[in-house]
Amino acid sequence: MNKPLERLQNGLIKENPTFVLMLGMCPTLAVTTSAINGLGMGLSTTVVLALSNLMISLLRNIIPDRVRMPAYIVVVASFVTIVQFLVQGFVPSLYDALGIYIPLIVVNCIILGRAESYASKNPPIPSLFDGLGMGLGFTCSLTVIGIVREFLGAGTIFDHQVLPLADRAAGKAGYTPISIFIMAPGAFFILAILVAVMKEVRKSLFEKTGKKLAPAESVLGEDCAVCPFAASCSGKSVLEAKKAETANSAAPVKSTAGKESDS
Amino acid sequence: MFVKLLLLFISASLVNNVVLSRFLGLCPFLGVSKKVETAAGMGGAIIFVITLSSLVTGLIYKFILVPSGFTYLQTIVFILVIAAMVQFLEMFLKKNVHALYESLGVYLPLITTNCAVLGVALDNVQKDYDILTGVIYGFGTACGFAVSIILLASIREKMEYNDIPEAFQGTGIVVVTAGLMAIAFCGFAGVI
Amino acid sequence: MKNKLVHDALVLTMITVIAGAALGVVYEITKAPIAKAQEDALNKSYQAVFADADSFTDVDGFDSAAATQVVADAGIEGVTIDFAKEAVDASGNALGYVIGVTSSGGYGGNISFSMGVTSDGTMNGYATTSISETAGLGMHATDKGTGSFESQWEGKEAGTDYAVAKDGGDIVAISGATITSRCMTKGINGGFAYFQSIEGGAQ
Repeated sequence: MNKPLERLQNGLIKENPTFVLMLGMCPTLAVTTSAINGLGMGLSTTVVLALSNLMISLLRNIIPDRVRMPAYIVVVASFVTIVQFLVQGFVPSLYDALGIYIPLIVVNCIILGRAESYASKNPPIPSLFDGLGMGLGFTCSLTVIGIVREFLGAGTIFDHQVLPLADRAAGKAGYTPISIFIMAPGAFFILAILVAVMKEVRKSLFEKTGKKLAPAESVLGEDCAVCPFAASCSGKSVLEAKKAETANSAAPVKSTAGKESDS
Repeated sequence: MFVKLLLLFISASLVNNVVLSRFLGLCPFLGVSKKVETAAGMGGAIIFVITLSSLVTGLIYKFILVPSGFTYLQTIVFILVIAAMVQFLEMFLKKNVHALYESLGVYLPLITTNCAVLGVALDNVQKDYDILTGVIYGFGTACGFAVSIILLASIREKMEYNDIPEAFQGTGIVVVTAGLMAIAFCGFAGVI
Repeated sequence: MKNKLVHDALVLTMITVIAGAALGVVYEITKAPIAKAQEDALNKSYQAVFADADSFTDVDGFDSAAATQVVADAGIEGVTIDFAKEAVDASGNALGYVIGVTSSGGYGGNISFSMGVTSDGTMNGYATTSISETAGLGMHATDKGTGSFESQWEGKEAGTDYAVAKDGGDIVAISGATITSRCMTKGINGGFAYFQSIEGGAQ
């Protein structure tokens, strides 16, 4: 199969970082107050992801294994800073809206996760397209979440008034925005619904086709072991020890979230 | 001056709560909040690291990056400094202050790539805080994190006995809980 | 073993140095566009608050720190006066002042805006220059036209201590964004306080 195309499709649908892998939730919740912010954040992340994947893949035989994490962080941080300058210079309104979340792309686990699990093991061209696919998948999800939140919370889509607003003073009937959806709590509720829906989708997909979706790779999958940093994270053993401890004592109600994703 | 710092502390910890209204540090918030004991350990470690890192990054920014004109390297420098600092802190505690290591140190490696730590360092630069204000801001932010993760863990311990719709079991209900907590924290906006 | 460690450290240092150098180059290239974008935003805000003005000149002897102190002395905390410009029309008549205000305590940090005050102390509107409030809520502070938060300020006069309705004043807050409205109101009070100090001194 055509490798670049396959990588694009993989990122957009099969391993969509937000909906399937559930990675990078901090920016997902923080900037999706409007569709345009979600789109801007998604595209900035895509640029960083594609370029850093390409660079890390080119350097994969040079970077010594033991210092690979700091090396990746340096590469990613450089690209993030470059993107930050470009956005600041050419799209200042987006820079104001996203603010501190642009430099925070550095710690977005999608980027280091892809570097570790794909770019460090594959040639440059597929890595570039892997980054592009993942980034575009991220962009689409962010835009969709942004559209939903903006529509419910303000009755607009991309700043166009779709639902005519009610005006009680003028006695005009119309839509009263549920502004909680563009405030912080709304983000949590949207995420909760997303998690629940994806859980059902996973289940019914498994029952129908017998095929499993890629497991959630973040804490939202309730298992630290699938985290992309697991290999280099010494906290993992700590958590495992704690887990064993809690399992020995009393054995509380088991979490069910990881069941169908763990094999 | 004192009143100003106190207000900043309240605003950083409660009004603009780092997880519940700014979504920084969501991963440990959802991941390490199953038991109050571990949540408290995580909260303590975060307070320790963020307070220290706002001091260190503040000093580096003011006395190294600004005079040399390398301010554009801030993201790179901050994240490397934070990672290195956490690593050293862990080694230091393990060797010298074993009691503290037992209670807090084990959580340190989990914090290295936590966005709340980098977020506070960048915030301090963006908002032009001097070193003292920056440290208070960091301390306040971290306290806000500790309060909310401990609250969430206490709720989760109680929730284990509840009958929850199947689709929401596990992460789903935790996120709903976080959303309800966020609504409650919105109420703090009236405090200042 | 020792050699390997040195080699690892060397590679990492090389990567960091190259990355740093590359950033330096990009920084130099983007410095001009960034400065231009910021200047454009400011110029646009001058025009927005004084559409009839032809040129804007710096107020003589303006000092940001002293101006901010004037505002603080008037009892308004957390307001910085960034600049003050005199608006002059095509025939050379002074129309009023554009005052650059940064007000702290918005929901997403500081809010900066330019406010236009005519020579007789009437508000000619404001235009935000740096704002990161919540889209759909606090961001309505940037709206223009009838029914907007901004429009009710037009014609307001210096010398009154304005407050949002919730605090007992007569300013209608942006719906769902009291914090943003308070921050803007505080900033405008500060701008007026500074206006009175320069206008009072000139006469």
